[in-house]
Order: sequence, then C-alpha cells, then structure tokens
Amino acid sequence: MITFENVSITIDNKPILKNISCTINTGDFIVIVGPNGAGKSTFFDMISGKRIATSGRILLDGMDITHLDEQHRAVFISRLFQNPQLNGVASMTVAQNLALSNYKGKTITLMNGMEKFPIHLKAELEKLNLGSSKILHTPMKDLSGGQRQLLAFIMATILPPRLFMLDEPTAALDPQSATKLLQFAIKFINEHKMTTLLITHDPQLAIAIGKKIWVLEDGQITKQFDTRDTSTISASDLIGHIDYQKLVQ
Amino acid sequence: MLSEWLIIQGIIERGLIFSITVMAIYITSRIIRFDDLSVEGTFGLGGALMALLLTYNVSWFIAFPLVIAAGAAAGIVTGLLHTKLKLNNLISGIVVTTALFSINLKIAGSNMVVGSKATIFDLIAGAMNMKLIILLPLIYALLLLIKWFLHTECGFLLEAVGDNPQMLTNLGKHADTYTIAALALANGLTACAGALFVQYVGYFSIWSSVGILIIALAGLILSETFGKSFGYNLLIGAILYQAILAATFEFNVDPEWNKLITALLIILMIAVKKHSTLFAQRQS
Repeated sequence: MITFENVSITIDNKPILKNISCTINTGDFIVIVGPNGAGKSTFFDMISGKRIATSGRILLDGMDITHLDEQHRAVFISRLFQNPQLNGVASMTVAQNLALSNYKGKTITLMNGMEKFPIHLKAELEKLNLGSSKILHTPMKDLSGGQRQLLAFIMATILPPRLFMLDEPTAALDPQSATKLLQFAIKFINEHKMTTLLITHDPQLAIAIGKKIWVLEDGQITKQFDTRDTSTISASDLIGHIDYQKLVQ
Repeated sequence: MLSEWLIIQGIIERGLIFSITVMAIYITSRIIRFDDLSVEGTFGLGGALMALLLTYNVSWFIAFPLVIAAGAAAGIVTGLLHTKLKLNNLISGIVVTTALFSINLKIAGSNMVVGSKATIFDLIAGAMNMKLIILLPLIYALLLLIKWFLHTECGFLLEAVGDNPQMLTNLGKHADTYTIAALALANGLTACAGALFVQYVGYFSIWSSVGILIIALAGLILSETFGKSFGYNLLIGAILYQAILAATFEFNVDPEWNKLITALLIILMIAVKKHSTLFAQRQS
C-alpha cells in the first residue's frame, strides 16, 4: 500500500502537484487521465523518485520513502516509459537486454554479462515471437516499436515490482501493436495481481481496463472513480465534452 | 632490406603503444559516449611520472601501477566535474588537461631523460632493438583483458550507460558511478601508454602529449574501416596511422606538418564514411 500525505512538488517556483493525498492499495489497477500539463508525468516522477516531493510524505507499507533516491526505489517500483529509447539499451541485443534487466537488485560482478539471462522466460518469449535465436541476437534498435515495448514490458517485470507504472506505453505505437501490447500487459498484470498505475489520454481505454480511474487536473486529483462507477461513467466524465462537429463547421 | 624492416618495426611498435590510447578513446567515445579530452593530459602525466620515478631508481614494475593509478585519478576528477558539478564533458576534460599541463611540468619539467635506467624493454637482455617482442604480447594481453571486461556484467553496464543512462536507474544502479569508472579506466590506460612511450623513446617531453587525442581518434576512425567492435581492428588502425605518418617522412614532408596531416586525415576519413553511407542508402 502506498499512501500520499499532502504531497506537493514545486518546480522553478511553479506548483506542479498540489497537496495530493491518496492511497494506492495492493492489487489496485488505477488508470490516470488528465490533460497535458496536469502533472501526470510529474506524479510518476515523484513516485519513482526522479523528483523528490517538496512537501508532504510518501509511505510504502508504512515506511517513509519520501526522500529515498530513484535507484533505491527502482528495486521495488518499475516504470515503463512512453519513449521506447528509455526502456532498454538500443545498441545491445535483445538477449543482452534481457540479461541486463535481470541485474536489478543484484550485486554486479565480473562474471559473463549473459550469466543472468532469464532462461525461465524462454517459453513466454517464444509465445510473443521474441524468443527465436535470430531475434535474441538482434540489436534492440532494429526491432519494431511494438516489439520493443513488449520486450520492455517483460524486462520491467522480470523482478516482480511492488508497484508498476506505465506512462502512456502505447503512445508511439500503431493501433495493432498497441492492442497487442495492452492485451499482453493486462493479462499479465491481472494474473500476477500486480499493483499498477497507468497513464493514458484515451478515456475509452481507461474505462475498459481501469479498476479505478483518477482524473488529474491542474496538479490535483479532482475525481476518483472505482470499479462500480466504470460501468456507468462516460468519456466526457473523464476528459470533458469534445465537440467534433465544430471541427468541420 | 634491414633498414626497411627497421622502419616497419618502428611503425608497428609505435602503433602498438598508441593503440592503448585508441582502446581508451574507444571506451570513452564509443562505449560511454563521452568525448573525453583529459586523455591529452593523462598521456603526459603517465610519461612525466614514469620518467621521474625511473630517475629516482624506482623499478618500472612498481612505477607502472602508480602511473596507472594517477591516470585513473585524473579520469575520476573529469568524471566528478561532469557528474557532480554538471560541467559539459568537453569542458571537464579541458579543465583537467589544463591543470595536468602544469602538474606534468612540475613533475618532470619540459624534458626529462630516462638515460640508462632499466625499463620494461630491458626485460629481454641483449635484444634492445626488438622492443616488439615485449610490446606485442603485452598489448595483445591488454586487448584481451579489456575485451573480456567489456563482456562482464560490469562491461554491460558501461555499454548501457552510454546508450541510455535511465536504464541503469531502472536497474537500481547509479549511472554516474559507471561513467566515472569508465573515465578512470580510459585515463589509466592512457597514462600507461604515456609511460610506455617514455621508456620507448628514452625521454619525456611535455610536447609529446600535445595532439594525442587526435592521434588516437585518427587511429580509431581508421580502425572502424576494419570493424566497429572492440578488437584487433583497434591495433590495425593505430598501426596504419603510424604507417601513414611514416610515409610522409619518406616523402620528406616537414614533421611540423604532422598535426595538420592528422587533422586532414580525420576529415577525409569522416567525409569518405559519410559519402559511402549515403551511397549505400541510395543503393538500398
């Protein structure tokens, strides 16, 4: 369980997050929606430790992690970025990236770099068409965007995190690749009952997959919907009404 | 025939010594992608320190680890300036090189003759002209050692830090630590090359380190014609560069033009590469 007590973040004297108080329960799947500049990514940065809260407290299962640095938090908090560049090492092969991702939380040695290759994932990789010898020896930069994000998802969850954050993971993908990634991700998250936060701009997606939906506007969580509401809420409840007719008038 | 062989031998020997700096530049500019100018100063530091220690009758065997440690320390300073004070990588290197110029002058003056002191090349008694016998296995072993290191977990993280520092953070590791470690390694190696060079020519000169970065860069760019990974190509590149310089001697080109020739060579190689890439793209 992660509890936020009156957390604020100010950047260059500008308040970005304002007195946020909320709780993420173990097993929650929370989708966060909100307009650009609402503070969604800063909210993730604050949880991951990239930005330290200017005021307030963050508690993880009662332990105060407000001032814990990003490296220490990374052991139990995983994050999948929108930009595939940030999720892996483009110049290294798929196999090397997989081995690398298994270094998390472990001591670095002078053993062969491939020693920690997660052999137990071979079957899973085969199912996703990422397990062939040819693909394993391909540099990550030569994969398609969809393959890269799928691989990044596997890499981010090799060591099951206590909190998994997905920051618009499909934003750079075509609809087919995005659907494939989301299908795999949602199945995986549900099977492992992984506590998850997901940012999206797509209200339909939020309603379809979120067990809870939080609306972040102007640095504050302005609305919270839980499972019972998702069957009754509409896209306009989340992002307001958009009149597409006006575009063609 | 003998004189021709001596010329070729000299080219290979100098190429092997400078190949250590090429390996260092490979680590900084190709692996961690940090254009490190401090090697310009640490080559001189290695030479000055080795010359001083030898004149104080310290064995070259003991002097080498000290020289490498001093070079590594200079690399750490560059790394700290960049990671902690957030200085641009080029500026960090220039600051360290500038500081080292004074330090090197204080250590060994503008010139220091090693004279008759025993050097690594005296290992094989009576074979003074066969420095190659010492250099070849030494550089080969060094190449294999670094190649092995780059394939360890630590080496993988160095590669990762150059490509995507965020990846290290994702893994719970400090990217800065690995950047600094790579700079320490590269500058330790460069100091080692400087120390070898002083023993090879028999004296230290403050001017011998001027342009080392460009010499190494020329070697690296030439080496990439034969392969982009860390391997024998680096040795070939360094030797080829020395061969080109030697050829200019044969054509009686004034050695004062050496640095200009090196600069033009680099421009030419980059232009050829760019052109061939464009050509390949058009073909495909």
